[in-house]
Parts: sequence; C-alpha cells; structure tokens
Amino acid sequence: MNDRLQTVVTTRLPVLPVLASQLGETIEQVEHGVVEVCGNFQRMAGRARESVASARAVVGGDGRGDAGGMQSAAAVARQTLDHLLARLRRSSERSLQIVEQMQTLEQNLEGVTRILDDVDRMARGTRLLGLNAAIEASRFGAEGKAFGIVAKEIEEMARHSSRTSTGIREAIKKLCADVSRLSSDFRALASTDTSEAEASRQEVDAAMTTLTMAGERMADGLVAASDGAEELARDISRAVMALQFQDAVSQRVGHVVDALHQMHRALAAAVGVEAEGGSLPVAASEEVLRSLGATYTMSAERDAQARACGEAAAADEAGSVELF
Amino acid sequence: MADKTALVVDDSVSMRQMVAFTLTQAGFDVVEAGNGAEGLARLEGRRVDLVITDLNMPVMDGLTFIRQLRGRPESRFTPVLMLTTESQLSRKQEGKAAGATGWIVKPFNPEQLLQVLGKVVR
Repeated sequence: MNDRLQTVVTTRLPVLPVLASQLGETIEQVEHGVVEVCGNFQRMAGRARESVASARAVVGGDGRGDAGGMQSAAAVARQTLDHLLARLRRSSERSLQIVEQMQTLEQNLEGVTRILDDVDRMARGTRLLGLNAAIEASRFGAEGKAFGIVAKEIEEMARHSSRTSTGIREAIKKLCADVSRLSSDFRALASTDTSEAEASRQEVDAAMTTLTMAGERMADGLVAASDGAEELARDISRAVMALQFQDAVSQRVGHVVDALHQMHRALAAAVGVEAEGGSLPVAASEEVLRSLGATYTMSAERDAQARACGEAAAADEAGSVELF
Repeated sequence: MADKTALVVDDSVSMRQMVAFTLTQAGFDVVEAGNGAEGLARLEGRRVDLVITDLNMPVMDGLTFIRQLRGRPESRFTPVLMLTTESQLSRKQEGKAAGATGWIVKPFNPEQLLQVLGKVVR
C-alpha cells in the first residue's frame, strides 16, 4: 500500500465507527418514535371502539334501539291517555245521570209543594171551622164553655198546621235551589272534563310524535357516528400496521452497521491499526459479499445486493403465510 | 377467542406492540418477551394458548426457543407461529424441523394473522 493510500485510510478510518454509531442511534430513535406513535394510535383506536360500543349500546343491535323504545313509550302513553279519557267519559255520563236524577228530585219536591197547598187550604178551612164553633159556643153561655175550649184548640191546631206548612215550603224551596245549583255544576263539570281531557290528549299525542321523530333522528345520528368511529378505528389499525416498516428498516440499517464494523476491522488490519473486535484478514471481494449476504434476513436485502452486483434475485422465496 | 393467552417474543418493541394490538382486539391476553430466553422465563408456571416468535433475536433466537419449548411437556402441542422478515425456504424448513406450526413473513396483515389463529388455536 502506498503512503498516500495509507494516509487516507488511516485518517478516514475513525469515521466508520462514528457512522455506525450514528446509524445505531438513529435506529433506536426511530424505534422509540414508532413505539410512541403506535401507542398513541392504539389509544385512539381504543377510544374510537369505545365510542362505537357506546353508540351501539344506545341504538341497539338493529340500529334503532332507543328510537324503538321511544316509539313504544309513546304508544303506551297514548294508550294510557285513551284509557284515562274513557274513564273521564264514563264519569261524565254518570254525572249527567245524577243531573237527571236531581231533576226528578226537583219535580218530586214540586209535587210535595202542591200537597202543602192542600194542607194550607185544609188549615184555613179548619181555622174557619174553629172560629165558627167558638161563636156558636159563646151563644150557649156556660153550657157552651167546654165546646168553646175545643173550638179554640181546633183553631190553634189549624194555625200550627199553617206555620208547619210554611216552614216545610221554605225548606223545600231552599232544597230545590240547592239541587238546581248542584245540577248545573255537575253538567258544567261533565262537559269541561271531557273537552279538556281531549285537548290534553291531542297535545300529548303531538308531543309524543315530536319526541319519536327526534329519537329517530338521534338514532340515525348515532348510527352514522358509530359507523364513522368504526371506520376511524379500522384506519388507525391500518396506520399502526403500516408502522411495521420501522422493523424492516431497523434490520436493514442494522446490517449496514454490521457491515461498517466489518469494513473498519478489515481496513484497520490493512493499515496496521487496532480495531474493536480485532482485525479481519484480507479476503476476496466475492467472499466479502457472500459474508455480507449471510447477515441478511429479508429477501429485499438479497434482491438489492443481487441488483447491485448485476445478478438475478434468489428463487427460493416463498409466500407470506405457510402452515406446516 | 376470549380467555386465551398468547406469548409474543420479539426483540423489536414496536413489533411486539403491533402484534399485541392485533391479538388484544381478538380477545387474547398477551404476555411479551424480548428474546427466546425471556420467553421461556415467561412460560414458567403459565400455560399459553399460542406463541408467536421472531426468528433473529439476541441472547436466544427463535429456533432455539422453539426447540426448548417443545421439550417441555406442557408446551409440546402449543401452536407456535414464526413471525419474521426471513422468507428463505431453507429457513422455513429449519423452523418446521424445530417444531414451528406455521411461518408468517413480516410485515404481517392483521386480518390474515387472525385467520391463521382461527385455524391453529383451539
């Protein structure tokens, strides 16, 4: 080896371990970065799948879960309202029946009033009879005294009957007024109950229809969100798997690092310098390439070397999956 | 495949992570090791339903690991898949002779991996 070549090799020799070290650290940095990115992607995929699970729990397996539940709840509410309305109608009918019975009662009381008229007439006649009897008794002097007492008693009884009749008449009058007022109240109540309940039923029915439609729109939105989250999770999974390139790149760069170390040891031996791992003896270029090829672990490396050396690629590569 | 456990052996942290990601989604519990010797240590007192191992690793390579694994009565029939960048026929034959159940070349396709698991894991 001439002096110039010796000088060049000796001065450049320390560069090789530095390059190898740089590449080694690069491998580590890339792997560290990929692991971190991979972890983040996995967490994202996990959250996306959690979103899918949450959305599916809400919408159910058929995609209509809560919307269906809302529809059946609305149907139950409508049915309950219909039952309530039917009960109110029956109550109203019963109220009207009571009104009719009250009217009958009123008519009966009027009949009693007519009987009282007869009682009054009889009391007036009796009083007149008592008065005439008293006049006749006075004409008989002492002999008519006892008859006069009887005549006065008759007159008094007639007055008493008349007072009693007046009292009953006033009581019946008051009773008729009460019955009439109650009858009006019942009639008003019966008509108000059914009309207000019908209006309420229509309002609730409209609200239920709105709620059901809102539920359907919500379910559609959740299904769309669930599909989107699932697709996102799949995309993230594909992105994670795409990061496998790092393993292949690390291996290939690692093999270059090994080759640089070999080259350093060989050149160190040639110029008489000590190298880490000891010196390598001088070998033929074919042997060096064969030795380099033996470190390869993937067909891409072997193909690359074959192309660089102008050779055909190896033919003993097989498929990507094989079960024995 | 719920309630199944898999051992994943690879010196690449990122590859272990990706394989574990795929297996976890398929319902596996995953135990990881960085080389064959670590893998054997992880198997102490534990039965697994599946082993996925790399070929080229420091300390103990995948072929040695499989041979030792097959020497253990409890692991004699455990499915063992090689997952490696190596695709040479001669290396595959070595794997088969060592006791591997199958050979998958990296980079792996998750769906394809799960299809293979469906065939080899009971």
